[in-house]
This record gives sequence, C-alpha cells and structure tokens, in this order.
Amino acid sequence: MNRALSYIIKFAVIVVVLVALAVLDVCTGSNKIPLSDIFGYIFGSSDLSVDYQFTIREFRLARLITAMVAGAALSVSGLLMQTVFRNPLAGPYVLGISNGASLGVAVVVLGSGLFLPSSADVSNFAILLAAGVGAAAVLMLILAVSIRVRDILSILIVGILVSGVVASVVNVMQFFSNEVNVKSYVVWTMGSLDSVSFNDSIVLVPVCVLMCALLYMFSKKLNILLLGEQFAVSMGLNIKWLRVIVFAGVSVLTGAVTAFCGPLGFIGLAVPHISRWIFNTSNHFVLIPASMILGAAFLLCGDILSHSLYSQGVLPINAVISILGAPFIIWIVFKNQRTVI
Amino acid sequence: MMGECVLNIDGLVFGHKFPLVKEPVALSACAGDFICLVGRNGTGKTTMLNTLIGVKKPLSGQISICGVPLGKISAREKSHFISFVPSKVETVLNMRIRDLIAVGRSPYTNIFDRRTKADNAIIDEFIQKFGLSDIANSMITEISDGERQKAMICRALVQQTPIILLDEPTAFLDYFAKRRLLSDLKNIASAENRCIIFSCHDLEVATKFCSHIWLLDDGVLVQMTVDDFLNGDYFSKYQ
Repeated sequence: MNRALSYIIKFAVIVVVLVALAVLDVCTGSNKIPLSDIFGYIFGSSDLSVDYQFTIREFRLARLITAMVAGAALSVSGLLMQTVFRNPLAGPYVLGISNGASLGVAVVVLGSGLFLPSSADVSNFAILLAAGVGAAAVLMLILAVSIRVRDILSILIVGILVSGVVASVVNVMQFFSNEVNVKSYVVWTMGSLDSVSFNDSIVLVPVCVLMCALLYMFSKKLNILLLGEQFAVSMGLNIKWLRVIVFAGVSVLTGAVTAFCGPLGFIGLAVPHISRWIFNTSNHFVLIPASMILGAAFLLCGDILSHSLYSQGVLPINAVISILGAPFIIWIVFKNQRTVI
Repeated sequence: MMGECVLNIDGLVFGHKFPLVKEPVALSACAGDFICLVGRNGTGKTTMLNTLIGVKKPLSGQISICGVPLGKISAREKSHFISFVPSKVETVLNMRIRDLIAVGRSPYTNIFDRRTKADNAIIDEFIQKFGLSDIANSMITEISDGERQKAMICRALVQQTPIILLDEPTAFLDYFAKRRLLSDLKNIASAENRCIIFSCHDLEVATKFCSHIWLLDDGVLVQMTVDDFLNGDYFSKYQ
C-alpha cells in the first residue's frame, strides 16, 4: 500500500535524524569529544583515554538518555491530552501534575531553610522523592474528579484551577523563604538534563517505555474518541475508564520527567502537532511512536543548542526549547484560524 | 411486507433524574422501517436516543434488540447492533474520510485495529455506493457539512448493524440536501433492510419520506402512521 510505504520512509528518516542528533549530543559539552572517539567508545576500542570513557558514560550518556526519554514521554503525554480534551492547545501540564511536583520540590527546597541548618544541602534523592509525592497527590485529586465528573470541560477547569492554587502556594512559600533557597528553587524550575546520573537515567527508561507501551494499546479507542464522546459511547467505549487510564499514564510520565528534569515546557504542546503535520494523519497507532521519536529529537536539539550557544556554560534548557517551540505554537494558532472556524 | 422485528421497547421510562415521559414507552421497530422521531424542543428526543445508544441508563423498563435485552450484552457487543450518527461531526485535525469510514469496522477488529481483507472490501463497497470515492483521501476539515454527514452515514452502514440512529441529520443541510439525504436514507432502509430511526425538526420534508412517526408529545411517546400524524391535532395545537 502507498500510505504504508510513505509511513515507513518517514519513520526511517526521523530515526536517522534522531541517531545523528544523538551522536552530535554526545559530542557536545563543556569539552568537545571528537566523533572518532565516540565511535571508538561505541565499538569498544581500547585506545580511548580513561577520561573520555568516564565523561561519556557518566555525563554524556546519562544526559542523552534523559533527554530522549523525557522528550518522548512529554510528547506522548501532550498528544494524549490533546485527544482526551479534544483541544489542540492542551498539553501534559493542563492537569497540574507538574505544578504538584513543583510544590513537592518547593516544600523541600524552600522549607529546608526552616527545618535544617543553613549549611545542609538538600540531596538529589529528596528532590526526586518530593517531586514524585507532589505529582502523585495531584494525580489522585484529578482521578477522583474524573471518576465523579462526566463533562470533560469541567475536568479541564478543575485541572487549571488546581495548577493555579498550587502555583500560588509555591509563591507564598517563596515570599517567606531566604534568597539562597529561592535561587536554587528557581534554577530547578528552569529545567536541567545535566543533574541526572547514569544510574538515575536508567530508572527512567523502563518507566517511560512501559507507560508508552500501555498507552499504545489504547490507540484504537483514542482514534474513536476523536469523533466525539457521545459517538464513542455508541461504539461501546467506557469513556470514564479510558480517561482514568490516560490520566494515570500521562501523570506517571510527566511526573517522572518533572521529578528528574524539572518542568520542561513546550515539547508536549508542540511535538504532537509536528508529528500530525509530518505524517498527515490522526491515527494514534502512527502518532504515538512518531511523537516519541520526534519528541526525543526535539529535546536533543534543545540540549545541543543549550550546550553550544553559550561558551561559558549551559543555557537553561527550558528557555532554549521555548524559543524553539514558540514558532510552532504560533503556527498552530494560525492554522486553526483557517480550519476550525 | 414487513421485515423481522429488530427493536423492542417495553415499559421504558427515560429521563435524567426525573422521568421525561408520563407513561412507560412500548414500541417496536422492524427491519426496513424508516422512522422519524418528532417532538418539540425539550421533550426529550435526544435523551431518548441517548438511552438507546447507552449514554443514559433507562430509569426503568427494557430495550431489546433482535430479541436480546440490552442489559444482557456488553457495550462492545451492542455496537454490533446499533450504530449512531451524531448531528455534528467533530472537526478532527488530519483525519481522512476513508479513516473516518473505517472506524465503522472497529467493533469487529482486534486491539490493534487490524482490518481483514473482508473489512476493507466492505469499506470500499460502501464508499463506492455513496459516491465518496473522489473525496475518500480528503481531510475531514476540507469538505462541506453535507459531505461530512454523508461520510458519517456511510460509516454507520459499514458498521453493519440492524439499527441505525441519527440525531437531527438534517440540521446543517440546505433544503435540497435535506430532501436528497432523506430520500437516500429511505432507499438504504429498504435496500439494505436496516431499521433507521432519526430525530428531525423539518416536518414538511421528513413526512414525505419516512415510513412511521414516533411522536413524543406531552410526555407520551407513541407510534403512528404519517397520515394519522398529518391529520392529527399536533399542528393545530401549537399554532
């Protein structure tokens, strides 16, 4: 079939682009590693300096895996939120999951000044745990609402309100906190792929792969849901449970990514539109893998730029992907003006 | 000759929290019937349709399809018996007409929506019958309301259910398109031997084509012939 062939070609092209970006990403950093040494590392060459081996494994590979997994997870989350809310401007954050994670981190980072001596440093593990607990708390709230409330717009409004309230609580905490803690919290919100160690990044991979695989199983139902909820019920779908499963899956994905990398914006909103545009389809069986690959590639682009644009250090990844992503959001707005209205 | 009885409604009371009908509804419909559900705004036509497709649970009473009570079968099995055409098709980004019509086969496919050769043959057959071959590869957002409606009805036929429900199919169509649509539906009902039930406010057009009227008025839902309906007091009552 013609269309199947075009899908295969497009998938092949984006996978090649992803691999090229991955190699480039490993080269990029505070000291550039030549391409030949990267290939030497991959094929287990023995004449590689121990320094390079250590840098590649502990810093570059960890960063690479984190970027790819985070990009894929956020893009799939954004795609599913856009489908469930049937709103092209929905993203992984509309439910307030990342704000929950932020609140958890804020409690630990900003609150540490109150309970701990100022010299004590908050450990990475405590931040991870706090973000996870915060995200889970918001998830429970959203699930409780979505089991009771039928109307999807009400759920959206609750999600936005929860985000707002949680963000305000964080604001109040910042107001009462000291400068050092506020700064370390603000730096966390800028997002970072560098603070994840190789062993931590390996934890992210199975979580993301399992969740994406689980959600992929619901592609057929999501394709039906695109045509409206009343119609979906007539096709035998249980809308409530489909929502609960999607919300739970998306929350685990975004919660895990936010815990490790901070709240990364724009990817979840922009990448689903890029995949729809490239593959010219609304079929989730195609869009879910496409969003994973393109999301990984998108975040790698952001990572490469954030490490190479400024020679003295690393630019905040959130700022870089926002600048990258904004043109796409504008494009979506213009495109919708023509088609929907 | 009447076809076999496919839909049996017995002692049905529908509504939200409170019943919308004063008397329990007892109706039946047969294959080949082309029934127009008539009622003023707010009488509960949509609730009635929603009860039939399973969005709303009946407050009491029983609906059975081809002799099987609805409560006894799963939601998925039910989609083998009833297909539904909403009044407005959602504008879905990047969805082709053929994909939309193919959704009609999804009650029969596996979890990965893999369609067999037979499934695809049915889809192609109805695309041809409906004259949609030229626009089968167009996007939903690129075609007119009338064409979208037609595609949605084509999808319902592809689902191969004995009963097809349509919620105000004429709402977004011009006068000629309405006539054309209802005459097509009438032909489908008899040629394909399906039972088609639609709600409609365009009574002049609807009464020309439908085989029966289900009149929902004053909390009572009854079946009547088109002549009885036209000669009854429904029109004079609300002048």
